[in-house]
Amino acid sequence: MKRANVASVFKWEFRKHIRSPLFLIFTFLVPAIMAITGFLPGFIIERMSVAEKALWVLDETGQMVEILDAALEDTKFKAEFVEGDVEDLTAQVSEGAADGLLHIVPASLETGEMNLYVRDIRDFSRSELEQLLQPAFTQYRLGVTGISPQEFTFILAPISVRMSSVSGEEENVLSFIIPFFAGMILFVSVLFSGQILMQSVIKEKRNRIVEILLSSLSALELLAGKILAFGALALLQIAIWIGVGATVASRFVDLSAIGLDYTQLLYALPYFFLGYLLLATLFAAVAATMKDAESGSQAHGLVIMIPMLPLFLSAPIMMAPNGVFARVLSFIPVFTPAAMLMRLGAASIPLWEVVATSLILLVATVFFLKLGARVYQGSLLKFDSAASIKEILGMLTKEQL
Amino acid sequence: MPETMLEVRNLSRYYNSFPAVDDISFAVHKHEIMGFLGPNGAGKTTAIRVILGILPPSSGTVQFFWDGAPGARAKQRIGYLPEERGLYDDAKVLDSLIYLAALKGVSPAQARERALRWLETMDLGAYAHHKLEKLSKGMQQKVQFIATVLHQPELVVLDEPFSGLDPINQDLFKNLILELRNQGSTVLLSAHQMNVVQELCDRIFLINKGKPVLYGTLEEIRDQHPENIVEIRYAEEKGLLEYLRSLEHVRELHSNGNAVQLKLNTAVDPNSFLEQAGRLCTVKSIKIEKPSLHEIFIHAVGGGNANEAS
Repeated sequence: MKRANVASVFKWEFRKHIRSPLFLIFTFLVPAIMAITGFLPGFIIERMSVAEKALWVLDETGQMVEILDAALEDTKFKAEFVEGDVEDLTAQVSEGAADGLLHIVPASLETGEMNLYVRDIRDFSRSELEQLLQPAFTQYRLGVTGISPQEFTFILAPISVRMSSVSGEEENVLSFIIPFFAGMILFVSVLFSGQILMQSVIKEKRNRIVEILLSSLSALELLAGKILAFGALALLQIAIWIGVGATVASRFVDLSAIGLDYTQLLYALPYFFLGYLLLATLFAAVAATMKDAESGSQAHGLVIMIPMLPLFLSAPIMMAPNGVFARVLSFIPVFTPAAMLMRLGAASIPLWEVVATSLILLVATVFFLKLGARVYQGSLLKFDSAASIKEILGMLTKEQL
Repeated sequence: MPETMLEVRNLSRYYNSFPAVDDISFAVHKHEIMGFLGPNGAGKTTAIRVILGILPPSSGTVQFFWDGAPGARAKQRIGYLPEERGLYDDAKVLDSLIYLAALKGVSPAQARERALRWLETMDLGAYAHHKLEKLSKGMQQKVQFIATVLHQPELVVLDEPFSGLDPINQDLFKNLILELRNQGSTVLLSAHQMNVVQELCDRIFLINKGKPVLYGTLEEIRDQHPENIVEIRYAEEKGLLEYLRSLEHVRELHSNGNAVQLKLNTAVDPNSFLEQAGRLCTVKSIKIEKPSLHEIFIHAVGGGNANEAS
């Protein structure tokens, strides 16, 4: 294998695709849209919830006035206790005298049920009001049953279990979550770059340039250059995501105080690189057997299902990261990257398991690279039809150039 | 004795059990234009791919003699214009050319300089920074040709370079191929335009259904051909047609007014034929000539097309 040829392919693919709209959109626009769609609703709700609401309270029992007045103080609900006929009062509410009328009848004290008449149903949060009324009614009921608020607080005081390892390490939720998300970012990025790689292979086959390329270099050199280029694109993408993400996060959270376990991230790297190599080879080989982009997209969907399987089974893995199921999956090469990335985020994995699964993945990757290169080479010149299963098996069993 | 550049020996390539190329042997001499001919599906493209190392052979050998002695394939010294052509349609013309030249070992600066010069020669200077998809088909074919020769290859393999070209560009490509030869390159040319092949090629190798059929210089092949073309124009016919119809070595006899055309087997002595024909008509003119390459081609492949899985 000539390194100069691999380097030429690498440079060409990297430069070509770093400027491609697909890469730019996925790297910058998609995270921006996700961030906006993630934050915007919360922001809007927060802004909406700040707006004051004039709430009339018609308390026919006369028992709740003081308690409710205290409960609703300093909230957005500005309570005004009124008297009169419900129908008259609701008519006034509909004319804009208030935003709503809360009607408490004697039965409300026992059943907890009461009516709320509002001017605009979309402008009023019932659940928010319920949350404010609940302690008020609880306080009333405590008074009736003779339990003092202090006694009540004592009864309902929450329990808390603080966990730490015997080595002195303390539990830190973020230190688990962040490696997990980092792993997921790596994986999403790998899948994305694998998708572009697949499209690139199909395109070269479709526009016939592959025959010119193969007259200058070997299929293996072409494959290696491509895989490295798209791997570099994936890394760049991740660097951008993490860089931007950390910058934005640092405005809200003190990242240094989180106490990230960087060794977990370090362990994740072999899974990323080898997982990428394995998947990329699979993508390239499958793409080479395809006739057009449409069948390539369908095949891509099928291919990513295999390594993605552990993600669909993330619940049992996360609940028991060192359980039998998670461990077995970790030792099956195509599942290893996703399974281990999740486990590393969820628990401390014994070093021997990290080493063993990495080695198994390494051996499997070399094996896949060899087989993938054969299929890639054998299929590239089949312009008019997709390679059949029989043909692919033939390619796998024969030595190529 | 001409120096050999490429030697193909007993080359076969099978697709499953189908012999796309079946035991062919030929050599290409240095600084010649070698015609590699055959009907559609004869196995030319498959043979070319094996020669270039794109496909492995099933059996046989391909040997290169770059500097007199047998050497490795050296892809950097070969230029290839495939029949199924294409370039990156979403990339700029100049960028594509520099990339393809880099794969042949040319530095970016040198590739840029050469590419711009070639583009100017081909009247494409203004399109250097355009995407290929913006160019017409004819322009794209010119760019393809530039990509093939930019690294100044010693051996140029052209698979159907004239297909899809208008007559003006056909002439342009013809001259470019001659110029390549004149500048010292060796050309292996596969084409269907027999008039162009006859004009350009020093020697010819014809295959059909994967098997070798004809091999040699144009003269040798024409000499080997078992028939001559005969045309007799006469003022008065005195039994000539009857005589011609009686000859078993005459084929495709066409009579038109006071003229007759026929194919005469070389087994017939032309002198005695002329003498007899002269007695049976008042001859105005008589012509016996070797057949054109087109006729030889049709005769050799019998009008039949093979089925090649390539």
